[in-house]
Amino acid sequence: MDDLIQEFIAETRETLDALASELVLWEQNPHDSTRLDSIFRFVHTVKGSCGFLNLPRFERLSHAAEDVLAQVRDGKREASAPLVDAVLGIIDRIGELIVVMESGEALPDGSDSDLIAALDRDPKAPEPAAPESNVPANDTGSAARRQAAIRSIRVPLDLIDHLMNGVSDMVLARNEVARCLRDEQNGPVLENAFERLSSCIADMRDAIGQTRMQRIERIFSPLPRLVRDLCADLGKKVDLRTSGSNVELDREMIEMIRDPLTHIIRNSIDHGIESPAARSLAGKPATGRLSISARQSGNQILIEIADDGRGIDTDKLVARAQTAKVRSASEIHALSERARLELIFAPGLSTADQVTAISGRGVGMDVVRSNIERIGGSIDLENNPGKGLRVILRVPLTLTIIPCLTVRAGGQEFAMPRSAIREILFDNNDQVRIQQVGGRDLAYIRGECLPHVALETLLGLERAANPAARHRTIITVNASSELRYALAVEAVIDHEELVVRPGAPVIMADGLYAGTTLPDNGRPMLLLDPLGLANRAQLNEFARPDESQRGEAPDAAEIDGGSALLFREAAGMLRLMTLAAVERVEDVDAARLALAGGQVRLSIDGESRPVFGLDQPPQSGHAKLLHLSDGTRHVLYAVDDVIDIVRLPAKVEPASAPGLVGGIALIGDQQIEVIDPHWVFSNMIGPAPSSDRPACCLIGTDDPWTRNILAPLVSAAGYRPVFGAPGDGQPGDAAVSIIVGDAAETPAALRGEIIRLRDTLSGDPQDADTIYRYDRAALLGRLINGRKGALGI
Amino acid sequence: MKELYLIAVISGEKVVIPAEQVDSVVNVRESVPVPSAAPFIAGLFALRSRVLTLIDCQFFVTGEPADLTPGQPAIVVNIGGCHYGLLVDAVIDVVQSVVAPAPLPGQLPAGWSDIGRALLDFDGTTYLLIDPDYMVNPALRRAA
Repeated sequence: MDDLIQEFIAETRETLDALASELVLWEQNPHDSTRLDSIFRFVHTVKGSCGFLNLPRFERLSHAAEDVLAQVRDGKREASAPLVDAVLGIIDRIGELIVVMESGEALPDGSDSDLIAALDRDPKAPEPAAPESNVPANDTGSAARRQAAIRSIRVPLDLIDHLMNGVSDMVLARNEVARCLRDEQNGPVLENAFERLSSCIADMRDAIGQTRMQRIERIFSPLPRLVRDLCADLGKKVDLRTSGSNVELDREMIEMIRDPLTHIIRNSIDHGIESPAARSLAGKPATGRLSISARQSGNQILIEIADDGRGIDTDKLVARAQTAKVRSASEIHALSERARLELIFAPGLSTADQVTAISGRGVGMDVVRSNIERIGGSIDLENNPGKGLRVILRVPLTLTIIPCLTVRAGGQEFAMPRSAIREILFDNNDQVRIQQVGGRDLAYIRGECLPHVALETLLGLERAANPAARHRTIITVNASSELRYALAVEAVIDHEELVVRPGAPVIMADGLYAGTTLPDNGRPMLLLDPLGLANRAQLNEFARPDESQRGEAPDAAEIDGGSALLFREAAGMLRLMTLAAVERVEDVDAARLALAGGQVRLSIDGESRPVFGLDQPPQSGHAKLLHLSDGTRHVLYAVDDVIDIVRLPAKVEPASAPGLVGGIALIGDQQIEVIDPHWVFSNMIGPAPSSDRPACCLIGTDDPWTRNILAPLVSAAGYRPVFGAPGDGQPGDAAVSIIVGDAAETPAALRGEIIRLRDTLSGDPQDADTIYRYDRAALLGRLINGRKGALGI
Repeated sequence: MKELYLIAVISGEKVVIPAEQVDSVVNVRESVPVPSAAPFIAGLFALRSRVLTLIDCQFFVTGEPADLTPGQPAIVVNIGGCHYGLLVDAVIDVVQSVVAPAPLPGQLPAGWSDIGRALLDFDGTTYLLIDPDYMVNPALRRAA
């Protein structure tokens, strides 16, 4: 029976989540019969199950709702606003009761007659006093209860099948290895068996990883309801749009971003989006827009919350910061615009004029940021005063497998998340100067001043007396978006992907460690928390003013050319591609590649996309592909391997001729070719269809030279060659006309640019308005000018 | 009332732990220290693919950290979803109790009063019943 009840709870909850958005849509359009049907189905299912499970309270609620909905469906009653509200009230109550049941508590006593009565109220009768007033307050305990509930997930059956098969394979492979070991028949047979076991294990690890993944839909689907309720409370109108709800994320991560996301949305609606009256005064549509989108970018998930409200008033923020004594007047004066905006993250600050029930108590954005940073993410703001605010959350894909750097300090090994590490240097490097100032060690690295601490000092360890490495290694760490420091360790050992588990609370309480892991050598290792180390070193107070003063200087990312992906081509050479163009990297099964229409193409997401850099699909195995995107179109670029992400220098030497390689960048002292993504796109997708291009009339003799030599040049310059004068039945809208040959007549009614080509090279300056037919540069120059004219530039 | 108890030795004295709280007993070959952690944490050790926290039981009693001798037994307990190894001198036996635990007789010397919860009689010998929950997170008890 307990099993059945658990099943009922899980199922009802899941349906409730999915139904939340349906309900809002139904409210907007009460005559929408498909929505009505799905709500009816839900209520009906609940009613059926609870009759069977002997849950009379649920049964009463669902029965009443079902009756009313049936009447609406049959057209006997009108789906009026109070009726919709009443049905929503019932569904909410079912949700509350489910939460109570889930925590294993007895259902509270209470009557639902108020809700049921609301259903039967005649919509034309005057509305009596607010029916919600006597709803028992179930809210307070519900969050705590949710925590206590048994944590469970639903996993698709075929994934379980896959896991089961994988485990069987593993057992077989293990038996084979055992037999080989028994026979002492080492060599290739054992190697093969071991190989098989390894691949089984890798496969299993992936599959288990998948069971933890969940669609972000899970936090998106309740949002329409949240927005609806907020709007109703605040008297605002908001049109919510979500996209990317099929992006998958570790379920732990989903739980961790739920609250910050809700908070940002509340802020947006409460403070960002203005009331309809204020919006029309500001010349905006009365309905505000809130769009929430998620997408995957490398091993990060980007969640973007954009509204078209009033944005953040930084002046007001600064004034508040001054009154709240978060910063002193002189400090604030020195802040850059960006640093001013960042004040929103300072504890105890709010721009809301009054505290409302929804938000504006000043506990908020600082908590949001610390929650996001705790899971290794970051938060960025793009403020557009008067026009809107865009909040961008970046969170790592999974918590469990983290690329780490292993380091040695005080004779012990530690892991450090790679995401926080910016650079690794030896302390004898010319670029590094370490100096003691006012009792604190500072490291000057290429002119940048960073606090410098030794890991041994932070952890209270003795420095190894005879370290193996002669020079200590300095790691520059980005602990958070505004806190950097240089960490000295004895040596950096390796870079590996580690399966990280949370440590015991007593160990985590310190904040120094983010978890524990077990590397291949079987000795447990601690994962350091970069932010915790900074706190231990008391760096916060030190670094923040420093950062804000430096804020006046342009951001480092603006000086240099941004990030670029360093990869190896199939042919073996290293090349760079700007990171902005790369959406993600994927290993693709060779079976999904095929030679079609002269191109190797990949079948992906139900469409076929061209692959660059492959002449033939590989016979077997996998191909590593970069997904390039220009926002709407996708091209795949085959590579041998992805090596690193590097900063592009400010100056990239342009290549001598346009082509695949757009320039040459100096990384270290290596000259590396930088791919021109524009060329890749234009080459793979092709230029605009010829009918869209401006026409170019080729007038004069219709000889082979015109057809075979001039016409291709004209098309390459972006024109549609048209043979003959406009008068010869051709449309007269040619942007450019080329009159070929000394003997050709100039037609009377020619518009646009006219280029006259002459047959012979002549020194006569009178011929300045004609071009010699092989003066390629001059001809192309005129053609390009003509094109600009045609486009009206 | 029949309950199973595990008899172990901490700092030379025999104590009992409710068997229902005990996951297993393992021998710890080596442990990795946790720098700047609380002094009663003897380190981390690996049990198959899991990483467990090793608790130095002797520290609670004597205030002196114990040196791990390779192969020393540890009692594995699962508290709050996390596994710990309680490092003890020896594990002796599992016994069945027929009597209810008796309250502590007044104040025990410093360390014992923190970890001891009750007294328990077996065949004419009285043992101190200790509380693993306290040992894995003393801060919790003090806060409460």
